[in-house]
Parts: sequence; structure tokens; C-alpha cells
Amino acid sequence: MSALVLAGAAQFAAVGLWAQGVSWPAIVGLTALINMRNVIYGVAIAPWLAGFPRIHRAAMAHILADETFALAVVHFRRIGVADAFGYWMTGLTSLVWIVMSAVGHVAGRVVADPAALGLDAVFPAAMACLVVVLADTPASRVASASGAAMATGLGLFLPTGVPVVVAAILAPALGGVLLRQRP
Amino acid sequence: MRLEVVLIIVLMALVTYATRGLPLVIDRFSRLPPRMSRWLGLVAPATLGGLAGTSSLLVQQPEGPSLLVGPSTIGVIAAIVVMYRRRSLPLAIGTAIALTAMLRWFAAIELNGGLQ
Repeated sequence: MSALVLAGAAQFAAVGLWAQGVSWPAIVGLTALINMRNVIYGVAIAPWLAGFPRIHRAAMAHILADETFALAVVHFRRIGVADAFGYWMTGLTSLVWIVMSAVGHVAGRVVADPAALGLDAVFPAAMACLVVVLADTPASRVASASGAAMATGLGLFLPTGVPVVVAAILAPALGGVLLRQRP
Repeated sequence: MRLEVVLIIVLMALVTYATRGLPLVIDRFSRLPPRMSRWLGLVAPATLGGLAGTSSLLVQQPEGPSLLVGPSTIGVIAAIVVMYRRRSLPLAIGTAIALTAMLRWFAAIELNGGLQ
């Protein structure tokens, strides 16, 4: 599942729903909903990757996820151009996900509580640190802060995955409006 | 493995790939008006901010999600400070892991009545 789907939140949700006896159309539908933010990632990164052949872009799409998007955008911005090698290197995070899923399957029986090792802090810390790099203008700082506030607030009421999609659409507009830069 | 499980995994892979692949293979998305490009330039910080906020502040409880400032939240704040000052991702994440684990260890000792 980790190699084919390559989408952590959707995989966790699917396993939880399957364990509760939820039907497969509901599981597949929720997967699409949770992964809807990939559409936004794809639209945001498409102009960078426009110079590559379509078949190459189709292959690149399989590894497009939170971590690869974040690392690729930071990398492209830093060097001022999209490079294929750099993009595929961000895919190492996907490889780590697949390998660690297998390791977790085996080691999970040995390690009683992975959270006791502090490993649950890795993902939020990585995302927050990449925000520090990306938020280099007043508009991007407003967008990241309002995105965090919006998604966290909405997360109390909306299903997993939806709050981040809503924040990803509305927070950039707010950042632009607040700083009189039309979004 | 049951056939139904395989079918679910394949369908999950297909819908997930559709969300990733369509914007990248349809050329229309690579030629956008300037206003849309400016908006898209802010999508990454907004999305990552949202992911950082929800994953460090929300916890899933049986009765639904709730806000919690716990050891991992403090670890994430420390990581932000380290990243801001040192610009080193491995150092920042290492700090978050170490601090989170340490705080949980102290909490466990406290719960067990302190060091004997």
C-alpha cells in the first residue's frame, strides 16, 4: 500500500475505516478527499515542471506529496530553476516512507510506544522548518500563519484532510489581500 | 491477502494518482495568468503552515479532535527556533525529537512518583 498509494494520512484513515467495517467506496472516496491537496500542489508546481516532457511529468506525479512538494519548491526557488535531478532526489522521502512502513510493520511489535522516542514530532517539525525557509516575504508570512490558524481551527470540526485544503485555498488569498497584493 | 483489500489498495492508488497527475500532465496548468501565479506562490507556505499546525496542535480523541499543547508541540517550537537561528533542517528535527522524547520521559517519571 505504501508503494502504490504513497499517501500517509489517507493510508492511516483507510486502515482505521477498514478496521471499523466501512465499505470500500467510502474508503476510496475519503482517500480522494484527503489527497485533494495534491491537486493544489500539482497546480502550484506545474509551471516549474512545464519544460519537461509529458511522460516525464506523469512519472514525477507519483511522488508528489507533502514532503516532496515542500522540498522541491524550496530547492527550485533557491536555484531559480526546476531541475529533474533535484526533484527526483526529493523522492527519497517517498522511499524512506516505503522502507519505514516495512520496518514499522516488523519493529512495531518490539517498540511498545514510538511516541515515547519523540518520533511523532518529526513530521510537524519538518513542515514548520520548511515554512521558516519559504516564508521570506510579508505576504508569505501572513499566508503561512493564517494557513496554520485556519487549518487548526477547522480541524476541530471538519474531517481529516479537508481543513488543509481549505486553508491552502483561502490563506494565500488572505495573504495577498492583507498586503494589497492581489492574489 | 483478501481480494477486497487488494481492490481497495488499487483503487486508492488510482484516485491518489489522479489528484497528483492531472495538474502535471495537462499543459493548461503551466500557463497561468500573473494573478493566479502570485496566488500559487503563496500556496506552499499556507499549506505547510496548515500541515504544521494541525499535526502539532490537534490530537484525535474517541469523541473527536481536540487542541493539545503537548511535548511534541514544544519540540516543534524548539525546532522552529533552531531552524530560524541555524538554518539546519537535520539539527532542527533532531532537536524536536530529543526534546519531545525527554519531556515524555520526565512526564513518565513524574507519573510514576518521581525518581526513587
